[in-house]
Amino acid sequence: MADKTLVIFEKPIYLCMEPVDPHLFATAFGVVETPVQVNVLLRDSAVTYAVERQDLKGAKILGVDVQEFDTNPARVVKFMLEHGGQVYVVREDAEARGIAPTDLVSGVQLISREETVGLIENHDAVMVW
Amino acid sequence: MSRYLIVTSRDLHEYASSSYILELAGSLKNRGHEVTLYLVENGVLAARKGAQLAARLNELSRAGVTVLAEDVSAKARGIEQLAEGVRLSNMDELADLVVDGCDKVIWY
Amino acid sequence: MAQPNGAKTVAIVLATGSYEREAPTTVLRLAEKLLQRGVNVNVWAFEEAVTLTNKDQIDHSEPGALQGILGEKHSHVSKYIDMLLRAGLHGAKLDWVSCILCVQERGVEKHQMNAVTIGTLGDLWKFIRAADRVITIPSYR
Repeated sequence: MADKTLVIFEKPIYLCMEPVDPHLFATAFGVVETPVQVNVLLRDSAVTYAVERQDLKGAKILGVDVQEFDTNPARVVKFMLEHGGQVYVVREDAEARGIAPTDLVSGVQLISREETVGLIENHDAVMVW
Repeated sequence: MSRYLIVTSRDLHEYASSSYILELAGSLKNRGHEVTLYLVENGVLAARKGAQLAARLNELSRAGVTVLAEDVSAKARGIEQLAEGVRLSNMDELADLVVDGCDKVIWY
Repeated sequence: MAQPNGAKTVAIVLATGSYEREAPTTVLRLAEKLLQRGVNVNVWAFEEAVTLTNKDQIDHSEPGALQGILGEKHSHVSKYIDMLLRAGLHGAKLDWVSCILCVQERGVEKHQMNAVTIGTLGDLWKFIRAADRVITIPSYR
């Protein structure tokens, strides 16, 4: 039984005609609405999801906003944190992308690449999307 | 001790993530777990004899990771010789591994 | 049949459509083998994978100029899914759920095959919770 699941994000998706990456909100649903304990690991370029100041409102097509609701991945990350999900960010991947710890949403945990192995060991199931 | 089945269907040459996947396989093995690295779809491209990552796969194999490449994927891509340390497998074996050859599946 | 200590239920989460990706082919090939081993398979399809079970897929003829290298036509993926769903009626079962959010925004809600259940994110997490093994195939290639 997969009571404790680690969801790993690697490749970010923005402005895809969903309010946020559908895998991200599917994960948020798991955090808030189900008995499964869901934790999140942001690695590779998906570390960008935890950057505090994201704004998706600039995209328009013929003057019409693509992003109809003012949300962004960081807002979803905060939501998951508020509802008891742990959110981990790989330090080396953030550094490689010029993302400083102070750029990140408060409450995420910076861990090393090596430490991700322990996370994988401690969860019943691992999902990579 | 747990048994890990790490499946890669993405080409390890193409993705920067590949170094992480290979490190993960090695780290889990070093920590005393049983690890199978299963290459399927474009994942088999790294297992062609002479491929740039072939040596890395052989290294993992010598460290005790079981490295397998799926036959239909290999044949589709014209791979006739596998790198040292990589064994040819098939979908039946992948199913057996999923059912009772592992405790967790991680598919990259 | 499944070994006593082996997996009895596998959840497969698929986000990729056919025709430009291989993941659905692999999933169907693997699902067949799992069913043969007496393992119940729960597939939760979302994103482009909800187009896999569109019952209105039809064979098309290949362009005339290319038929020499492509053949005359090719089967559509729902044919194989239908075969597996029928196989999954007897012995180990196959349940296939398409995400309601995804079928609606793609306009394929009314096009889903009869044997497919249109379900929710709640169904996804119930599949995950109940599974002995969870296979999630990333949609990136």
